[in-house]
Amino acid sequence: MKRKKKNGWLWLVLLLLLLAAVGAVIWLVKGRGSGAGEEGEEARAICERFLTAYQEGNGEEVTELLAGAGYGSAPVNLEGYPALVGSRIRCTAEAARRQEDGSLVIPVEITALDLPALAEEAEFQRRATEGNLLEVLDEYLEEGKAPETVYEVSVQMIQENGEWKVLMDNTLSNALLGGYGTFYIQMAEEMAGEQK
Amino acid sequence: MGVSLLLALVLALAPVNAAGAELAESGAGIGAGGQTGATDSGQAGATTLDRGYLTFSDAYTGGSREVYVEVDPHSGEIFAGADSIGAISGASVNQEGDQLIFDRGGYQARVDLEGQTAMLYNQAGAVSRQVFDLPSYTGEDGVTYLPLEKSLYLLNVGWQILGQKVLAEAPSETFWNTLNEFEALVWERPMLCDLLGEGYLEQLGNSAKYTLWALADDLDYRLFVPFFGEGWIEDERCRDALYSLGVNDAEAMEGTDTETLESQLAGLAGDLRVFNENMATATDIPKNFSDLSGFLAENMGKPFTPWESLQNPDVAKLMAKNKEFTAAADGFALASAALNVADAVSRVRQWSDSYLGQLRVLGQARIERFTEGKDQVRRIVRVAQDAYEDSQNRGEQVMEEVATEVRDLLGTKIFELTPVGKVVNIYNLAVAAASASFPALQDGLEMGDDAYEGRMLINIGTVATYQCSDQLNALTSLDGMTAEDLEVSRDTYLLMVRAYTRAWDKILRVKEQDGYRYEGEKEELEARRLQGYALSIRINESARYDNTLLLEEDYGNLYNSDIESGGLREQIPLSLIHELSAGMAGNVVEAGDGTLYYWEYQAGSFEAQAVLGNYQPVPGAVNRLMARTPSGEASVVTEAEGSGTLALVGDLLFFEKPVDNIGNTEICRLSLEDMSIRNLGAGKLQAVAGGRVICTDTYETQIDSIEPEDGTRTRIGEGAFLAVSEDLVYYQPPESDATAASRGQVTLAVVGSDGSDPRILCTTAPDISDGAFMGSACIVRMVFQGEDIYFSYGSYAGTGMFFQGGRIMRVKKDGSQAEVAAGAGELQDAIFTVREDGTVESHSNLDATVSVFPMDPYYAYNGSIYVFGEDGTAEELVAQADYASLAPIPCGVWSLDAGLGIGYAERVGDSVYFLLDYGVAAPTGSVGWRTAYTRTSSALFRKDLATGQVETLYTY
Repeated sequence: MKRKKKNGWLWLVLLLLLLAAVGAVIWLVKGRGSGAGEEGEEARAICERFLTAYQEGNGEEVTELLAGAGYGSAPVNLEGYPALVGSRIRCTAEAARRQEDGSLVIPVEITALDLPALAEEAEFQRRATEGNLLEVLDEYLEEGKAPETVYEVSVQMIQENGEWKVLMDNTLSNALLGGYGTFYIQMAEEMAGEQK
Repeated sequence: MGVSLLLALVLALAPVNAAGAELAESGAGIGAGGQTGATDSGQAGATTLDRGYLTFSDAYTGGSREVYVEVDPHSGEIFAGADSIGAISGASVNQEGDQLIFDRGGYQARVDLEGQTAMLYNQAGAVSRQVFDLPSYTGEDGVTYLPLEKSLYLLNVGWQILGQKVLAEAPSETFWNTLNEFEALVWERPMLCDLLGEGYLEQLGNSAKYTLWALADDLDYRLFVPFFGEGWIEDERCRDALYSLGVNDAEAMEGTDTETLESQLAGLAGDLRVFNENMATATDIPKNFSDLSGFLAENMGKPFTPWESLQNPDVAKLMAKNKEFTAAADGFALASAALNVADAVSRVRQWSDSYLGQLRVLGQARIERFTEGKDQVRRIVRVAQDAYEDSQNRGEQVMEEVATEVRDLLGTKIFELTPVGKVVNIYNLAVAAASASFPALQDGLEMGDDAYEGRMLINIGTVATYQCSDQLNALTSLDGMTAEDLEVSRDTYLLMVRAYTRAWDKILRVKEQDGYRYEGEKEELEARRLQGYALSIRINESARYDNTLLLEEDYGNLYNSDIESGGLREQIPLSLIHELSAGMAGNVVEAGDGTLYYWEYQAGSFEAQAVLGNYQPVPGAVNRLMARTPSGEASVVTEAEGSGTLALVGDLLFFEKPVDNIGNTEICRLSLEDMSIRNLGAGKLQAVAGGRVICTDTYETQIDSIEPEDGTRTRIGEGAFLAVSEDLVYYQPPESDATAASRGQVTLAVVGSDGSDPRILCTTAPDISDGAFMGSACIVRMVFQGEDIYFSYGSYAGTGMFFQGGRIMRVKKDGSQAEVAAGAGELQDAIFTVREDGTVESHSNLDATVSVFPMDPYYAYNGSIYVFGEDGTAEELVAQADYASLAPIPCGVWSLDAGLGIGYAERVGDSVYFLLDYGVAAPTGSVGWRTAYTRTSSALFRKDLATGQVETLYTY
């Protein structure tokens, strides 16, 4: 019986060690194991600064942190619709992941307006036709009536002159603008269909 | 030149710093402003001025300007005032705090006066990270001085030395200028909502959704990446849309408002340098192409840009093949055509290379921005790559075909095109030729419907927008770019602009097909496509100046002769610095650099017949204003309704415009800088004094002073103008007592050129005669010697207006000690000489052989022309043999058969210029004893007084 007891403890220890090893592998694969390391943390910090600046409507900082921020010196214009939507987004950034080509991506969940859904709402349409669109949208958002959705975005980070910058692709653009990109394409397809 | 060696020594020893920074700190300029000195620093062997003027000539307008410069005695570097540099380069100059900003159409060189550096910008921001050292100092005149050559370098000016002038080419715009439009263009880029528009949504009653959709126009392109249409794009359709970018822009823009287009291109530099008129006067233009390059280099200077080079083998090939051309016997037509061909070939080559470059750029587009619709972007990229490869495989064939197409398409038309204002025509023909040389394009031009292709072009434009933005960011982040960087950037920008333009065009066509949605949008849509079209031409044209944009932070290529790798910039020799002419008036006037200006008349310039050969200028007759360099090269400055006396002050040339045939004229001011002409009202030019033009009314009874720059006229005296000496204006006021005037009373008065300090110097006694049958006495001759003024005076009488004898007065310049110097007893002739000791040599009027008119500078006697010198002596400068080629009779003699009149005779430097009119008697027009003559031939001669050689400048 004693022997049996001893063997049980041994198996338990071996099992725990095995679990620890698997956990370490998973941690390595998901975190440091991807090769992102300090660079990844740095990139994530930049990404978070960018998203915060966007939420706060800080066009100058957004411009500073945006890759290929547009030829010219004018800061990115966040007034109007981007400000209405941007000030209400909520974001969660995960650790950076390194891509096959060496670039970094940061998985980010962005909770924001679901414009395609809102645009279909009869009440919104009615109110919008009776008043100023952006004012109605603002009221809607304030009243908490506007539908929201979660956008899962792989934010691409690239280096410019040795500094990490956020690349604005159409997925990130769509999320930051509360589904405007999707709405835009849907409308185009709808209208093209009508045209045909 | 009045160079003072003592002053030079003093200046050479003066503690003047060479480094600009030190100069700025000390606040001192280089030496004492406004004085003249000599230095041999900088360029060994030549004794040169350490300050003075350089004559700059504009390669496009032919205009010239005198630029005041100072030379750093240690480095030999030439400094010029900021305004002068701005004027040469076509830039405005403004100071904001410690920053001096040169701005040429939005391209800026910002000079940090504190840091003694400069950086380059356009309206979108810094165009490079380069920081150029640029010393400066404030002169005693308060002007900010900068290194002339380095400043021009930063402003993309090319220059070369041509004779005694600096021939400068300042581009009206370069690639940096065209990029000023980038931001506005991108903000207004074509989008799906522009194509599909409001109409359908209105039908559907979805106006709120439409309004939301249309918000896209207001979203910053850096936030919104619109890309659409899974399954919308097929390779074939994509190719069609891409190929449409290869179609002749003009064809695609059918129905373009050419007037608006031309106005949008008004700022475009002339596509050829000033050539026609200048060359037309040359007599030895070669008759075949092989000799033409050398001729043009000699007469027009070296090419500034590769576009002007006749060395291009395609130019020679085209010239040789064109029958019209080879049949041209006229050398001028040959030269003009050759330059047109060179320009057109360069344009075709530029466009061909650019179109391939646009395909290449699209083939290299980054697709990371398009995480949705990535397959569609890949398709665009792949099709662009295929099209590019296809074109590349054609290799050397392309230019050969381009050359052939240019020949066939342009035919003789190219030889008819004038250099300026035909850019659009040549551009369109060139693009047609180039696109015709890509058969794949021709095959691929089976267009889909406009709406579909419009969507494709919007997509291509979207890809191009981000590609262009990235490329320009990269370009302007460089510490110095290469020609290849620039070329890729231009191709990228052009791709974006042309994709937009074509998209707007398609949108317009779609809406035209659907009238109700078209209302109110036509003008805006047309304006946008026109703007894109004009911009694509400008971007293409600006390529000619790419070489001037290749700047090095250490000025390593400041002086450059290889126009493929940089702008043409020759070191300006200090020996070109000269003193500025104080200004002068006459029929032949000389500028500070020795250039002479005079009218070249033609048969219709003067009336055909006149009593005593006094041929009056014909109102409205256009004459050529000529410029003759010290080396004898003559060129046409401009053509104008001018005749007679000229007055030159700096870069401003004043002339008389006849308004009737009885001698009335108006005064006009010609800017030699921009060739503009301004009418300053009725009057006659008399002199230049104190930097102002002195003129009279047409009756010569009132004296005005004209401020050259603003043209304002100020009355400074009443009376007859006499002379200018030491910037003071001398004149004879009218006498209130007519009887006294007829008896010999005259008054000599003086006034400053600005009307200041008017004074009566002396009034003579009315004691020459009893006044019977005498006109009012007048002052006839004046001599200024030391502190004394001498003048002869008396009356004229008889139908021939002969001088009746008078006296010679001497008076101090301050009006004191007025006394009769000669003629107190027997009346004297008006002509007299003042000896060095101040005594007067004169002779009895009874011994007079000629009767001179008041203040005439010359007279004719026995076939010779005598010109008065400073001491009053009349010197025989022209003998009858000198003009025997024109007429076999002596000048100044009017017989019953023929007469040879003197239009003018003026000594300028070591030469005398004289214009003679030969006419034969025309009894029907005679009045009494005064015979009329019909003019048969005239000539302007120049006699070199040192060698005695006579040259005929022109005949008519």
